[in-house]
Amino acid sequence: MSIHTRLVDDWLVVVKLRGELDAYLAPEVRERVEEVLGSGASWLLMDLTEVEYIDSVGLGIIVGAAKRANERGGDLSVACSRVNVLRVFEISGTKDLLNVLPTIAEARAVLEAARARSRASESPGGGDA
Amino acid sequence: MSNPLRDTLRIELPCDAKYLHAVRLAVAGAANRGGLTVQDIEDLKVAVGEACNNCIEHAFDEEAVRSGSARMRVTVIVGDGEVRVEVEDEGRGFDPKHVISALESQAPASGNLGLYVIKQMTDYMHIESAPGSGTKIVFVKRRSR
Repeated sequence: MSIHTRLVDDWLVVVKLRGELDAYLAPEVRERVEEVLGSGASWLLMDLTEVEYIDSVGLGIIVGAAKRANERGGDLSVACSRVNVLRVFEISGTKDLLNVLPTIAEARAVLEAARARSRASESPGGGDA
Repeated sequence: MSNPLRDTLRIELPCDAKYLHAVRLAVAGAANRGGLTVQDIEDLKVAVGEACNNCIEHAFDEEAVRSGSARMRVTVIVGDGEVRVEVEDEGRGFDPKHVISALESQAPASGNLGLYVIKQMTDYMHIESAPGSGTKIVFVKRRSR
């Protein structure tokens, strides 16, 4: 399992995972995600396009990160195109909850839209100023 | 016609997550011999991983895990177009009634998610367990058409 994080446009943290996200490797991933959340990030894109396997422990880390992001007014999305990994999200009923989409561009777009809505609702006139 | 003894694989290993990858590979190799499709095999890998996670997380106390006395046994029986897997431990066990309702529901409680995933990924599943008597999780994956 390899984990890389990068900040994009000063608001979005992309967490790219490669390999198998199982109970053995989950603690390492949990630690890195905690670091990201601890640094104040509230918009996370989990890039799982190169993850070959996920189990309920790995899934639990992503669900936990989504809750934390939601609590601070942000959100999380997942880019995942591998059929077997996608199937775990579908079966567990977390596909919609976690904004699981097939490409990084789509996963980013859903967060951009959510952020725009959030900013519009925060501004006094309801606009984007 | 497959020979049940000839086509049975048995692995005994410590309850340690570092062996999960090896168990999945062994089960996938056996499932391939049973003529399952690629997606069937992927489903079976998830199911066996979840069953082993259940042993690792719940069957024993930390001391037993640390000392290596906490062990689990994975048996794979390759049939004609189907694979039966049994994952057993001799740990603390539980009353299966406590998880049955969660397994039947559409949205499982997070604590039972692993067992729910096994049920959804396989064609048949049952749990034999009782407090103090260990646990055996049995599931069957058939070749999809």
